[in-house]
Amino acid sequence: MKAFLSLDPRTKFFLVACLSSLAVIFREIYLLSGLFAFSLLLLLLFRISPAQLLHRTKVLLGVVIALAFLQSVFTSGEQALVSLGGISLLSVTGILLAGEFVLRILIIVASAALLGTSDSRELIQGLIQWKLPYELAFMAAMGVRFLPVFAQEFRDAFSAIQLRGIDLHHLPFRQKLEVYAGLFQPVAGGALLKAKALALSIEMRGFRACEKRSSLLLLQLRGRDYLVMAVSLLLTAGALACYLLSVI
Amino acid sequence: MFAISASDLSFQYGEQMTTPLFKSVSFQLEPGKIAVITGASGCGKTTFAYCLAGLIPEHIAGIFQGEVKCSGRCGMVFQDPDTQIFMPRVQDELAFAPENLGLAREEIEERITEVLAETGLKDWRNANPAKLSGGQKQLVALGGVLTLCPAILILDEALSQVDRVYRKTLKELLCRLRDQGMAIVMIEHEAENMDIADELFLMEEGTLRPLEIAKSLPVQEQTPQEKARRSSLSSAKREVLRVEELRFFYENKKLRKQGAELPLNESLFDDLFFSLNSGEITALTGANGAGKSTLGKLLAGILAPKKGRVLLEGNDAAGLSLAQRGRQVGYCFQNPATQLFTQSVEEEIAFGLKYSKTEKESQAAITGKMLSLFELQEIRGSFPLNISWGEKRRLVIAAALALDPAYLILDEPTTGLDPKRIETLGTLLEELREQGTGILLISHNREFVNGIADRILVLEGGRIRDEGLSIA
Amino acid sequence: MKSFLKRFSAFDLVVLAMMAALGVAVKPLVVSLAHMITGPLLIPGGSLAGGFYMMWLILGAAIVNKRGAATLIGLVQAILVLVAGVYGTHGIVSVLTYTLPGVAVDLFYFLARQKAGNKTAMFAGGIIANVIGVLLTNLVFFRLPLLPFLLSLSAGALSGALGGLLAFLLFTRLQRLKV
Ligand SMILES: Nc1ncnc2c1ncn2[C@@H]1O[C@H](COP(=O)(O)OP(=O)(O)OP(=O)(O)O)[C@@H](O)[C@H]1O
Ligand SMILES: Nc1ncnc2c1ncn2[C@@H]1O[C@H](COP(=O)(O)OP(=O)(O)OP(=O)(O)O)[C@@H](O)[C@H]1O
Ligand SMILES: [Mg+2]
Ligand SMILES: [Mg+2]
Repeated sequence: MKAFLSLDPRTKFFLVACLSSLAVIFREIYLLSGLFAFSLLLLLLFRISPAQLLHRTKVLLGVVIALAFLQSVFTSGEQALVSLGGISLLSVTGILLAGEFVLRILIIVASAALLGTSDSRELIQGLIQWKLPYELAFMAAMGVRFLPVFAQEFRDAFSAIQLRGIDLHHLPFRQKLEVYAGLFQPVAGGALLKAKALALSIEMRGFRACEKRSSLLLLQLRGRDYLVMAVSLLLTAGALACYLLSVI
Repeated sequence: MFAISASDLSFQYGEQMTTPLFKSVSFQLEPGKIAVITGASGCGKTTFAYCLAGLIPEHIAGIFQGEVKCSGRCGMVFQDPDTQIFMPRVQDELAFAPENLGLAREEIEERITEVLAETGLKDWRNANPAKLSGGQKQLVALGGVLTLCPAILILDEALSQVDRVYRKTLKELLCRLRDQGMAIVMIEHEAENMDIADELFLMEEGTLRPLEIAKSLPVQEQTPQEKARRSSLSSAKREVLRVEELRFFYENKKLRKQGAELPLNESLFDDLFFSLNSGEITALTGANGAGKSTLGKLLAGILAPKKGRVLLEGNDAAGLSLAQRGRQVGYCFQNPATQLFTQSVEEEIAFGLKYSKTEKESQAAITGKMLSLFELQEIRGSFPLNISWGEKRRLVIAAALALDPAYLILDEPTTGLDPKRIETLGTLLEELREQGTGILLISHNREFVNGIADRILVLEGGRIRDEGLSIA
Repeated sequence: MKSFLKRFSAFDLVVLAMMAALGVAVKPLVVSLAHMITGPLLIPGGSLAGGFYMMWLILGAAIVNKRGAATLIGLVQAILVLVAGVYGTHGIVSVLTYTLPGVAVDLFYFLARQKAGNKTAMFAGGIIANVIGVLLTNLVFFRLPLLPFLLSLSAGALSGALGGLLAFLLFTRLQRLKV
């Protein structure tokens, strides 16, 4: 099972792309359930605990419930399970559609979790070797580096502004906008100042100095990568063909 | 043969500057020598370094004259490691420069291994720079330049944010590099870092003047008696903050405490008891990662205790909102730039008052008072993010004090300040103490702490130790 | 693509990368911020959140002020959420949901011959970016019936407008910054 974890990042991207496309294309709950079961299997193969997945999508619970009601109210021609004054509050279709939604999200999050088993720098390297322009890869790597820094700065600014005696909840709307601009000012301004210093440091180290740049990191596809890609391509193509035929 | 030689350098930032920062400055350095350039803040040292490194006129606009000749590649390390490390892993950071030059993989690998060994960062090869301490980050920043194999190395106050342990490592590394024939130019404020210099220069009024190297620098220390006398002068003390049975840990995070990894959810500290008084300066020190900043945030209410409580004027503070707490306890983050929210210095001081429905006249009165107390009148209209670090520091303290809190918590207020500004800050804090404000000073700077604090608390191994008047 | 990217200086690229990261890093804050706005308005906070993400795209485009800047921010954000893992529930679909709003904003600035730093342009840009964002997430995930869909679109437009306005306020402030 270690073999799965050490798959090439590109193979993981491919796998994830297959799963996600199917999740977006399928509209029937039984198909989505099957796909979800399959993603759970993959999670196990990649040694990711499904509990983690549920934990991360916990916040969506409210959305799912709201969606079930919305779909029930606005989808006509269905016998209602719960109704109020002639308006169906909860119908089978509503629940099914909400179920579809939650399954789709779960599959997509699960597949993204597969990517999480590779280091972000290696994932980016995979994209580079797939001909993503270096500038973009470089920007993304820099983004990865500064995400936690900015998240902390946002938290600090948020605390600091309140410690100035400002109660954000009880401000008139117009002032809120002004205070929000103030809240973002130090983080955004700091980012610009950092950008200036970083750009100098990058220039000092020969950014774009040569036409062709080399790379310390070099990913190599191995036999099992080709195998996994071939199998997922076949399965996806097969599933898609059956699905399209049955729809027509 | 000189490694670097600059002749007749003049520079001026655009038209808005009426006179050149420096004029007809010449400078030469042989290989295998360390030159230190010092001078007052704002005199143009960094700008001069940009000229040497070729960033001026290449990447920074202005009026430039003169000529710089280098015998080889030039590398530059800046003051703040956070603004020159841009890759998510140490290894990629070190590989960046040689990759740009298009070197072969084997050669890059060789260089990286060598630099990792030189800097002692072998175990951190795959680490995220965000996880490193300030000193380690500075080593990574230096390493990222060393993989470029420069003949000339320029360091712009690169040691100022580094703690003692890493300062020693870094200085030893610099000496080794010098012995290997590298020419090193260091820009420095702190006398402590100048002992490795072969040549010393002072930048002053647009010129660069050689200085005698003074081998021993006199240090003035206040005697404890003197301090005891002084602190007894201050106004009556009253307990403002009190901590009881305090316990805290960061959830789901493995912690690194004093170098060692702690297991998941292990408490950073447990069962802390202490109290803080008004009219008194209490210093809180301890090793990196001991939890000093965390404790400060708990006192201010930014973090909530896992167990125990923080009492504010005798009442449990847990029920108060941050806004309410801020009116009683001012808190200044380590980086003053992250807490400047408005468009002018004046507005910044009045910011909290404005939104808490204080009357216009008293807003103006308080602002005026703060402007004069902190000597900020001259720049009252400036954009807060543009003023100097020292001014920003004074401004955030002024803004916190505008709400008239009984207590003030300062996290590392001396970082990024030159000795003169540290002195000004010290005088200011003493003035506040006279007026009855209590101050908690979280700081690494022993000299500063010993000179000013009435009481020193040391946070070590999750316990608070009262050290009395000074620490060794 | 190569010559397109060559038009951006190292500083431009760094600024765009920073803005992309800001737009993702703001996520934990957004929920509480949105709730503070919607508190009295009886709109669920979530529908107003989008503006706080899109404002960084608009702001970055205004600062760099070159054609294609918004697209680049969107692209980098898409790669970022994909490889950084912990953020967002869009998975690989984020390649669409993050990139296309940027493309739309650039297209709008180009067609309407607007400069990225002008108030109306930023206001409209915010609306466009967020409406496209809502449209895409609905297409991919929610698939709402028509009426609630239109409602969420209008909430998205409102939130996008706020985001654009906020980006403009911030932009005027940052113009005073000596960079
Ligand atoms: N990009 C710029 N545009 C205009 N003026 C600038 C710019 N950068 C610096 N200055 C000004 O030039 C002067 C010298 O700045 P410089 O950073 O070189 O000083 P320094 O000696 O390194 O100071 P410090 O010790 O505080 O780092 C300062 O007055 C500063 O305000
Ligand atoms: N937001 C956070 N989440 C998780 N862990 C954290 C967080 N902030 C700090 N830590 C960890 O808690 C420990 C104490 O951090 P803290 O910043 O309080 O130390 P400190 O004594 O102020 O150190 P320094 O001298 O470096 O400022 C460190 O191991 C740090 O990595
Ligand atoms: Mg300087
Ligand atoms: Mg600290």
